Amino acid sequence: MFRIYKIFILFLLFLFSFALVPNDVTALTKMEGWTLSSFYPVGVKVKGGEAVFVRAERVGGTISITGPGHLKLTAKVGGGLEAVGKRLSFTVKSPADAYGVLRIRSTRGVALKKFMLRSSTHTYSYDLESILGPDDYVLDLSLDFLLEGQGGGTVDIVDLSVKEASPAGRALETFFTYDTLTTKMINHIDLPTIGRYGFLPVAYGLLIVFYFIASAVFKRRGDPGARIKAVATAFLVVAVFVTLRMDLRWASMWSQDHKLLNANDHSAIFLLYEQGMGDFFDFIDFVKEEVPEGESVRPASAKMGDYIRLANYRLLPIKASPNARYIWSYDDRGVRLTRGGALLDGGTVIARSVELIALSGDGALYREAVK
Amino acid sequence: MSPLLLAIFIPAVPGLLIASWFMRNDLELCFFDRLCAGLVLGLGLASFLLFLNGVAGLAFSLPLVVGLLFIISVLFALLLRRTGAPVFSGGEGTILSRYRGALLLLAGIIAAYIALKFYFVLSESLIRPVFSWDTWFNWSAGAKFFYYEGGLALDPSNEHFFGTGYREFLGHPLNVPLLQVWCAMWLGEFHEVYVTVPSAVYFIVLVSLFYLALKKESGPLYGLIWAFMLAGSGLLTYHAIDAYADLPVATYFTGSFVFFHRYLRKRDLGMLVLAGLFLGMAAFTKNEGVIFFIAVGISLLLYLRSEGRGYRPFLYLVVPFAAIAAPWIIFKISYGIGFGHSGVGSGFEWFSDPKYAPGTERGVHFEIIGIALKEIFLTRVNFNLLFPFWIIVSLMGLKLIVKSEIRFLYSTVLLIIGAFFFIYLTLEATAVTQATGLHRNLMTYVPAIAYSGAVLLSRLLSKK
Repeated sequence: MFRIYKIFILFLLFLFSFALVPNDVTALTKMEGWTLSSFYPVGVKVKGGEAVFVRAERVGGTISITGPGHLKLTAKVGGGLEAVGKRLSFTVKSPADAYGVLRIRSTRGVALKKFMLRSSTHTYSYDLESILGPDDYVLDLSLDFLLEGQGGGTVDIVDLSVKEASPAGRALETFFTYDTLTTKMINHIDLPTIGRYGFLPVAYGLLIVFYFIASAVFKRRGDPGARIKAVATAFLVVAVFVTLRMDLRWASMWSQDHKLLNANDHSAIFLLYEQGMGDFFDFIDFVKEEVPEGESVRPASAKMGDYIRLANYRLLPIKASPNARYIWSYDDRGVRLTRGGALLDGGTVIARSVELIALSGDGALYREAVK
Repeated sequence: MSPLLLAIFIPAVPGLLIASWFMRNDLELCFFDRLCAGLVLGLGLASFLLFLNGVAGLAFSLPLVVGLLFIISVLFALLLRRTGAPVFSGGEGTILSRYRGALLLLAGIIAAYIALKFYFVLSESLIRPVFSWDTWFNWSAGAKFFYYEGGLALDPSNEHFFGTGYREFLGHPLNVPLLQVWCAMWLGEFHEVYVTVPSAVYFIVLVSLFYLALKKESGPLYGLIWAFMLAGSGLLTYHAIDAYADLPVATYFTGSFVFFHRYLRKRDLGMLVLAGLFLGMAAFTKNEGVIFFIAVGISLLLYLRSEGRGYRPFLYLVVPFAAIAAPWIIFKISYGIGFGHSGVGSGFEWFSDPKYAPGTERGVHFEIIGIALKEIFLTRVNFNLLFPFWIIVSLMGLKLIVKSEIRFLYSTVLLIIGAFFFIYLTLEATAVTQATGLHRNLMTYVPAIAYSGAVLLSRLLSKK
């Protein structure tokens, strides 16, 4: 009897293992389904003045890109690929700093996911449904890499694929997918999902099931406090399960942070989590180094919105002041310097006579000549 | 690193001695009770003395604050020596002497898991900078400014008076910013990573205080299971690695709640003094601390009324609270700085949250009740399954609540929930609709809710 019972469990596990195997659904599952193109086909100028060309080659299942510069991999999806259940994954080996962007063009627009590579091997995995939404279709997928640093480097991309999980596999996969850590986490932690369903209603269902099981056990024993003991047991079992799941998120974060950060170099966190800010933080650090002690700074315009306050915070001990001689602008085409040396924001004069001190990335730093 | 250890452990000395003095009559308390209370009491004290240093118009001075901490330590050390009150001894047996076999193994596994969680928050806080927008915006920008200014910049002619331009809400209390200044003074720079470390300390103390309190209620294993649950709260964990003010408030309020309960059980006035000190620290950390004080104060008055022994013990709560909170409140009033958290400055804009949908009519926003319930019970998993647990156990133990001292724990918690919902309904609807303040506010009193539920459950299970 006991042997039959064991065989039955093994048979169920066998069936379940099949249910977890992901299915290849498109030509994208093979590396050959991707096209390779250079974003800057003529090469790029680097700080040292020497032109360095981007090279790309495909060896077996690995695409190697040598930079510095931009390189783009694109996969066109004929007729559109339904986002539900699809997962894009790839492994990147990067001996040097690189900055990557996953760009997904869908029927609803373009979605971006940025990631920072720091001299390491890391596997990236993206649930397309959670990025695009359940009713969206992918038109094309592209991966851009910006290789930084004067000497450049080579990035290897391995096992690039899009796969569709089985319903059971997907339910497990979504449950163990940790949402990206954002600054909003200070306010709340999002709920894990099981497939398309939120986890808490499922947890309540489990609570009821465990309550009845525990209640039956305690009643059978003739326990006087069976009801309260059953409630406590059910909550304990489900709460331990929830705790372990939530703590796996922190374990994942711990492992990521310890690859990217240390006490004296934590710049990667801003690239990872403050998406869409370009090199703003590098620029602010640059301004901090350029402005002499005792001087203060101000932005040329209000274009950066609340990021001005973040800049003011990061610039300390250089203080912000509306009367400052030093003026910075970032990625702002409305700010221009006239031939007469006046700095304008659109039609408004910011300062009558300034000199351009330095340029860095998309930012510029000016000094007002006469106050 | 070592200056950081000094920044945390030097204030812990007077904190430990103060806690030991007020815990001297309760022989069930052990060294770890005193150490946990002393650690956060000391951190708050260092920050409070730095505030007095700044209000006196003097530049921040490490020797001055350390000197004052030393004087306080000597005073309490003499008091303790005179009475022979314990500092390092006392308390019941350890887990090892209490359990054998499977129970000991289970206790060991849970303890190891909690220790791993402590390691995680400490390790993260040693590599992660001040990161969340709300953290630097509300607290660290002011701290960094004060540090480089070398004082509170109270000269009205200063364009950055009291952090103007760096502190959006001048009425926000100063414990967290000044604690960051305190760490920075030891480190010799405003280190964006290391100033977050006190948050991890607050987390460790919060979980430990929780464990120690429930251990006395129903044994070490019961305490460990609940500490595991509390440490598993997602939002508390995140706050332990960022430098926001809600975790310190949660720690101070939980401490005061536990001491208040201890007073209800033992009638030891020293516990009320500690509760008052912790509530004062909470008010010096965030304005919500005043709400917590009022809730505990009302519950204490209800208890004293039910006992018919006079209201004198109330002073033991009020005076220590006022000793910490009053200087800050008087300072705010004298400089015309408000208490609010509205769109402009620090005023109150009743019935009209400026951040709510444009064109919304002024009035009470009843719609937030449904939104809040959905957020708490269906949408987020910030506090594990605590809320459904609390409601079910409370309903099952209603009779026990009414006839035992637990009713005063519940009255405190319900008063706080009522006060916060009054604020959401009339002042800050967006705290709920944008799912911002709602969960963070909950986090400050979730340990107290958990504690009241855990105490009730232990009584129900043992049929006390």
